Parts: sequence; C-alpha cells; structure tokens
Amino acid sequence: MSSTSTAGGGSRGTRRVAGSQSTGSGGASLPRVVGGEWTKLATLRSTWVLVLVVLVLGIGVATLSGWGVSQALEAAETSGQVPPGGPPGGFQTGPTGQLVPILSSTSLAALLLAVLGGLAVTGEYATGTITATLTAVPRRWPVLAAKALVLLVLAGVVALVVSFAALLLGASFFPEDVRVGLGDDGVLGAVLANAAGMVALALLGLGVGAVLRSTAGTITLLVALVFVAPPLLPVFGVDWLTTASEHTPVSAALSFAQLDGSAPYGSTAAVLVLVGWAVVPLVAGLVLLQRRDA
Amino acid sequence: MIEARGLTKRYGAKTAVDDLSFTVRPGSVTGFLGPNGAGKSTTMRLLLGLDRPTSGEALVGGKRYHEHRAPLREVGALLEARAVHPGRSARAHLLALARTEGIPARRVDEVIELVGLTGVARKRVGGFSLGMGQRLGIATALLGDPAVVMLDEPVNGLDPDGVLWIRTLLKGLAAEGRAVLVSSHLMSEMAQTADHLVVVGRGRLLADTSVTELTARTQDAAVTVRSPQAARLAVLLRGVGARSATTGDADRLEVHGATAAQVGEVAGRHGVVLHELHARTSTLEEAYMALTRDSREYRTDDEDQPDGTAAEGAAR
Repeated sequence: MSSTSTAGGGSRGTRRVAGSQSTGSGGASLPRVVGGEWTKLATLRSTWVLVLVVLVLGIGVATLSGWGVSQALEAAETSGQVPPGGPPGGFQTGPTGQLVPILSSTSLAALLLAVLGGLAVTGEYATGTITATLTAVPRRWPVLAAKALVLLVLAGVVALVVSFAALLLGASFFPEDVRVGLGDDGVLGAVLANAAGMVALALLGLGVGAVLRSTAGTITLLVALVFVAPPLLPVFGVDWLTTASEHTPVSAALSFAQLDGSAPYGSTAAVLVLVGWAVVPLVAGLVLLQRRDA
Repeated sequence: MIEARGLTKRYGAKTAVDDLSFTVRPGSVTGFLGPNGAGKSTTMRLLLGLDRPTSGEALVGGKRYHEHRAPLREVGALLEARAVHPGRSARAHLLALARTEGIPARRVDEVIELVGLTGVARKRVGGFSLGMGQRLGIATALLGDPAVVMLDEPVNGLDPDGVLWIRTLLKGLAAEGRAVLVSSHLMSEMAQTADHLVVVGRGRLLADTSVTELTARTQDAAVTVRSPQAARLAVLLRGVGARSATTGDADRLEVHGATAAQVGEVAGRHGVVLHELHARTSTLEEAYMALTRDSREYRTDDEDQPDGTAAEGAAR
C-alpha cells in the first residue's frame, strides 16, 4: 500500500494555482451543496432501509386499519346494533369514519421520516463527518438549507406515495356505496394534508437534530411529540394541555380528515401549525449552527 | 501560508490556546509539536473556523477561513482519522465533499489512487483499519489540491510502511510549494520530517525555530561510563578537569568535559576496569522533553526521566 508519489495533478514544482482544470472552479454555491447533501443521503444504506420501512409500515398499517374498521362496521350492521359509544365514535359510516383511522395509521411512518431527518444531521455529529462538512462549507447555513431541500423532496415523494396508497388500499375494504374516493369533497385535501404533515415531521426531525446534535435525544423528543404527547396531555384535564395536544403535528394534519366538522380549528390554522412545527426548530438549528463551535 | 496572531481560546475557566502567534510558510514542512492537551488540535480547529477564537485571529491563505468561497481548494485538513460515516464508502464520502465545491469526480478517483485506497474505494468505511482511515483522511485533505495542508497526527495508527509513506508525501507536498503544518506529540517523528518547528505547551508558544537550530541549541555532550571502580575513576577524571556524577547506580558515572576517548585513556592508564563506555549527545527528543517538561498536562512522576518518552508515545 506504499506509494511515493505526492499530491496534485501536476508533477514536482508545477503545482496548480487555485482553480486548475483538475479541481474545477467556483465556490460552494447552494446548488452544489445540495448536490453534496443528496450524495450523502443517497449513499447511506440506512436511508433506503428507512424509506422502505416507511413505505411498508405506512401503507401496511393503514391497510390493516381500513380492513379492521370495515370488519367492525360490517359486524355492527349485520347484528343490527349500533356499537357501544355509537357514532360519532370509531364506527361512523361517513367519510370521516374511514379517513381518520386510515390516515392516522400513517403516523408511525411519519415518525420514521422524522428520524430520517434527524439522522441527516445527528449522524454527522456522531461520526465526526460534520468536521469535513463544515470545512468544505464554512459559511455553514447552506449545509442545513441543502439538507432541508433534499429532505423535502425525498420525504415529499415518500409521503405522497404512502398517503395516497394508504387511502386507496385502506378504503378498498369498505362497501362500494360508502367507500371514500379521491373525488369526494375534501378527501384529496385530507390526503395531501396527511403527506404535508409527514413532510413537516421530517423537517421537524432535521431541525431538532440540528439543535440537539444527538441522535438519542432527537429520537426521544420526536417519539414524545408524535406518540406520547397527543394521548397523554388531555389526560390531566387541564385546558391548555388539551389545547397543546390538539396542536401537535399529527393532530394538525389529521384535522383535514375530520370532514364532519369535529376539527378543533380551521384549515388555515392547521397549515400554520404544520409550517410552524417544520420551520421554527429548523430556524433555531440554523441560528445555533452559525453561532456554536462545531 | 498560515498566520496565527494572538490566538486565544478559552472553554469556561480553561484556556486551551493562550495568545499563540506563529507563521507557517509555503515550501516547507512545519511540525506542530506539543504534549497531549497542549492545544494543537484546538489551534487547528480555530484555523479551520470550526471553533471561534476568544480573541486573536487566524489567517489561512491571507483570509480568515470562512471567507474562502471554495476553501477545500485553499486548505486541506485532516483532523480526526475516521471522522467519516461508517456506512458510507470512501468514494461516496469524497464525492459528496467534492460536489459541494464543484470538484470533478475524476479528482476523487485521483486522490483515492494517490493514497492507495483504489481497491477498497467502494467498500464501507466501517470496515477500514485505522491506517486505511488515515489514508482516507489524507485523501480528503488533498481533494481540492490545496496550497495549504494541515494534518493532525497523521502517522497515528500507521504501520512503518505507512509512516514512511507519510514522510515522503509531506516532503513532496512542501517541495511542490505548499505550506504544510503537521502536528505530532512525538519529536522523533518530526525530527525526520519537519524543517521548522512550532512547539506549544499548555496552549502557549514554547519555541518557534528550525530543526537544525533546536538541535544546535541543545547539544550537550556527555559520556556515560560504567565501572566497578567508579569512585576511583571519578577522582582520576577530576584530575584531567572533567566533572562526573553518579547517576542512580553506584557503578555508573555521567561525565561532562571529557570525550569518551579521554575517559578510556585515563581508565587504561590507571588500570581501572570499564564495563561500559559511550558518548551520549542530547537528542532532539530530550531537548523537546526539557522544553515541555513543565507544561505537560498529564504525567506521572517517574515520567520525568529522559526516557519518559515511552509513556508519552504510548498515550493518544
């Protein structure tokens, strides 16, 4: 493995001046940093494993959920009784009764997308790659901006596939006369909002990762936010905690599926809540990235 | 060209780098020496804009690092070996960095070839040995064909073949007109590679000098002699104007002011039996140990012997 040659495209004494044809020219512009970040994300096996798991789990759980609800509905109808708790419980026959259980079943997939976002930055701190990254882009902000753009596109595609497939497969178990379809009022919006919620969580993961810089801390916080807080907060019966639970990213995305008017707030507010979850931690991460020692 | 001017970095109450000023000139290898914890790595992080100095400034290629639009083409650095995601291949790691500054993929393959990793370029870095990791780090540093090269402990974990390779590489880089800064805590390594030395201890500058100058400054000839009649020999040597002292063992003398030949002649003339006789010149290693004795952060008491270098060398 020993070699005696030295660096550079040129031989001894003919070293290039900066920007020779050997190393190209120009600076670390945002499009280039995006290219670099895409390479980083795409060359990790864990990225694609995670994407595959998101697809399988997201679509799979939603499909099971649709099947389960349709079975329960059928059972209730044949026995001629209204199930305990009755409408508007889990057995509504209307579009909300199908949309909410099916789309909410993608939240585990959404959490995994958030983890993917978090890993895009905490992975660099854990392995030390961040040193190489920031020496290549010492202005720093383009790194996080590029990560956000790359994640937006990858998570966006995955979230759209999961959301549409979840609805189509999940609803397929319902009798044709009650089955929700994309042509029905508000259904397309609910599906798109579900995808938007998943993307918002991915960006939230990235932002939290940039703030905390630790994989364990980031995942813990994300799990708390997606799975622990929504059911736990209302338990205390304190108004503001209940309000907070209604404003988690998953609740905000799901409010678009509540076509029966049971949503705690309107669509404009829901969009703002989602954008807030996506953007605020990211901005905090950006500010800290600029200020802190790497 | 690297210029540090009054560089200071404090972490809370601890001062890692204390008013450090030095210059690294193109065309030569500058050794950056100091015991563990002397502030070498911190200084390099300050030079690379990774950490912000508390005061003072660091200029690389005439600018502060973050002012370079394409810094990889100005400065190449190896800070920690294996600071690469273990799940990524060597080629993918280099390619991602190259893309951020528009460096063509051809150059990636070139540096992989240069450091001898072509055969494993597409293997995941997680399986690399420490030596292969160092080579990848050096490939990263050379990616942009930079005018300034900065390597932190590049020989760590390399086999003798690899150490030789690094030495040749560094000298070649300097001969091509680059400014090369290499840190090490081993004087023996630097003595063979560096032209110039910047020695630090506890964050402060201890010496900024050429290797030859340091050697000359610390030449301190002494003769070690071992004899069962050491006491008698000491008296005899005093007669010819040499000072001698027993060092540890009663049968061992360290003689100043006489050559080994003179000591041997005196002993022969008086029939004194010698078991050992050798001339000892103070090595650069000892000069370095003397220089940094008071500023080593972690040490054991018996490490202060001249041969305490073994303990130093094993650390880190």
